[in-house]
Amino acid sequence: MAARPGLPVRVRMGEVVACLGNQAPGGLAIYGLGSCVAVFVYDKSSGRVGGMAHVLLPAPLAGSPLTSPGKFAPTAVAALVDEICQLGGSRQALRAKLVGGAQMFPFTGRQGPTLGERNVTAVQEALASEGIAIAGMDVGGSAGRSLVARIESGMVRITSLRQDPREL
Amino acid sequence: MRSAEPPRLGPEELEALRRVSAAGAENAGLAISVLTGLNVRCSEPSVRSLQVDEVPALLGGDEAAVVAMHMAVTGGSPSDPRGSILIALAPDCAGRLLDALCPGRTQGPPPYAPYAPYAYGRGLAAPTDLSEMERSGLLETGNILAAAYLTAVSDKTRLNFVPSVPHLAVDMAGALIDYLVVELNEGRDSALLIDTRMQDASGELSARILMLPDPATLPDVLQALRQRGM
Repeated sequence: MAARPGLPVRVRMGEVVACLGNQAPGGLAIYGLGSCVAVFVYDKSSGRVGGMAHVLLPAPLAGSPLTSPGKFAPTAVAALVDEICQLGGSRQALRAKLVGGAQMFPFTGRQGPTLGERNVTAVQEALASEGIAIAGMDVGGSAGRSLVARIESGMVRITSLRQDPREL
Repeated sequence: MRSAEPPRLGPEELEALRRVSAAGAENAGLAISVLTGLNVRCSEPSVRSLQVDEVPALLGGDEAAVVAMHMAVTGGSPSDPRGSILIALAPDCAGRLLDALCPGRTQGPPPYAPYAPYAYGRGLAAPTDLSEMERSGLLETGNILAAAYLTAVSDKTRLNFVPSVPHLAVDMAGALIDYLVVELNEGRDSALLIDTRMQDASGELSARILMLPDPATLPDVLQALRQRGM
């Protein structure tokens, strides 16, 4: 994790980044999020510690080696919560915000829920099993999103090409 | 068993894919030239493996506004996937393409005036803001390009490569790519892609054809190429 002063720390696909607020003064950011889901977890009581995961898929595929836990909802959420607690976060005070899970093309030839929807559901389940409450969501739809999340305040600013910026 | 990486390809296999794609690219260049009346050439395709999150950089970066036509490619049925084709243009190039396709196209009220829909930032039109004629112009271009490209690939491999109906999206490159690459590559770290640039003589119209082979069925395609001595 290398942050230039003031610039957000970028969380790449499949990455889990946890840190103290003063290590990411510009916040944590993901640019151009489609069907992936950004899971931002922060310590509501202290505002000192938090982190973000950039989840690609609801679960690892059968037979696929678990090369990077950050790609899959259950393992990414578990790793994120663990790292935040190791940095001194208090589990009871952790809150989560979810962004992403869009469907970028109208039809994908697949029946049932879209990849974005499945990602959102899987992240919600993983957070529930960790006992972490969701404080806000901006998910679904058909537009890509960029976001910057602030550990100290828990605020998430979301931008899209065609919508006004909004805060969670 | 699935592996974390796409099948490793040797230099001969990469070269065979490149040659097949070059035939596809040449055909696509011809088709778009006939369609638009512009002299459009395709570059030599490059065949390479990229880290999944490096792909949006090809289209200008994660947040770059892109007009994209996407088609799934099968061997003839959905149970026989072969990959995906994405045809991507910068918004101003999409405007120029439409000017060439629909001379005198109706110019809508201010927010959707000729180039305004394709401007960057909040002025960007959603596909639903485009007129029916503009939308079908773009989709038809995607259709014709993919069909021309895949016909040449089918001829070379003697395998079927059939595009689905095209879908149009106007959004950030990162967001458009993440779904395609993630779904197709099932969480692998890198993706194989065949990248062709198209450009007209003036350089004002340029587009990208990205072919993303399905890693699960790529070995069949390579086998077919070997059998045909390529």
